[in-house]
Amino acid sequence: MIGAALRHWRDEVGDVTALGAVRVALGLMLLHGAVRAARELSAGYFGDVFHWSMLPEALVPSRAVYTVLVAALGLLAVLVVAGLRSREAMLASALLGTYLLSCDRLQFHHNRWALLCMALLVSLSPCDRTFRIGGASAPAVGPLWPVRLAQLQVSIVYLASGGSKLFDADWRGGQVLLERFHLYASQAIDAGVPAGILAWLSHPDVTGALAKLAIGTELLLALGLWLRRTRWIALALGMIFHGIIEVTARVEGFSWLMLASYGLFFLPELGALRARFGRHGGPPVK
Amino acid sequence: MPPRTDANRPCPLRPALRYRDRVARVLDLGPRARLVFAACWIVAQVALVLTAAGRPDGAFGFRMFPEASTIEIHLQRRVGDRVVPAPRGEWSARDTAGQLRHFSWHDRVRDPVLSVLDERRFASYGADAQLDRLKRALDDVSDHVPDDAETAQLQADVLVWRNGRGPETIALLGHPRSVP
Repeated sequence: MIGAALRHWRDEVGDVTALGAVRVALGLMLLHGAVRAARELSAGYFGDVFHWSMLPEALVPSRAVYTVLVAALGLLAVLVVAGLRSREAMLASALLGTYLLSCDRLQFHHNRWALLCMALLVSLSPCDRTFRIGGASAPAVGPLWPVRLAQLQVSIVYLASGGSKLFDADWRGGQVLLERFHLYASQAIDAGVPAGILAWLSHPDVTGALAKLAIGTELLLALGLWLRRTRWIALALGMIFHGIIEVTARVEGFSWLMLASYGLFFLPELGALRARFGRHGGPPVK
Repeated sequence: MPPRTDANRPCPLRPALRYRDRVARVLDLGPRARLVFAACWIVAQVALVLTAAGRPDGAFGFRMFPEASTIEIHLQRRVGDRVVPAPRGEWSARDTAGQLRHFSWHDRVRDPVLSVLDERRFASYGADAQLDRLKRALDDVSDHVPDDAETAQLQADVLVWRNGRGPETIALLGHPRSVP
């Protein structure tokens, strides 16, 4: 039975039309990361000051090499977005990005690592057949095993995040959220949030309930996106969840990454939508 | 060299694969490679997540918003048997020739959390992550002030508010420097 399930997972094919859209979204995020790295480089090269390499120091690139690598990251991201040698470019982006991330742990952020993981997995899928510049789109049916693995990666992110909070008494009890509200209350008021709402949110009972809600949401998203019955509910919940995160915290592109990754769970629906409204109408060729 | 036979001649019906096709074949894993890759990927990810608690910053563990802790770093120097403050990370000391020189923490430390001294600051990725980085920063700065012939050791007294509780004071030391 396990063997049959593994064979099914390994050999499954399906509509991959919308994978191109996921690729473009990831490409834009990779491009944003390259631009950010270039901006930071213009302010100073990280290797000239205190940094913490996970690799032997001899493997940290010099300023000149790093400059070239950042430019390469930008070029690769453009290729990913344009759909030109996009799978190779995406794989190279993921590997190069991981290398650079390893060169300075001070620059490590979970969202950056998550993006590189997703880029690597999606590069193994036939994501280059649609949403590309020039050339006719190839038949939009392809192997789904990398998509399933990327979906699993989304669940791993939610499970790890929600699970670590669940086992942390301060998080579970609302102390972390309570302190965050205290720390950022003045900024929120400056941004127009009514003080009365903040005062209510800053009550320990409320933060305790919100913490449990946040943990429950993350764990639910890890599972709910997989099930046909709960997928749309999970999508709505995820959009609200990440919308709140986006307006209340600085998480770089994390929210956008997770929302783009939701597309992996809706490939048939998105493919049908594109067939209905796009240039390449008609059912997918099996 | 053996004579060329028909078996060595390229088949006219199967032209050599173009570069693009060769790369595509590498990315399009075969049935066995798919299973091997997926197994390795999942094992690696699970291992990284489960061992994240052992790393102060939880790197590769996807622990989003782990804490709401704050820290306040005060830099000091051990000169002889005295400990003297280095307000805002700036200090003056004599070199081996007796010339008075100026030194700054910020010449080496540009990190948005660690570069802010004598002010309470949000500890991204938690207090332990920042304390671990600060210890390394102390060592790094100690190694990059060769003209300071007075400072035997750098020290940071850190006030830590863990998720609002505290503060507790933690003293971190850079590695000792040899001074005349």
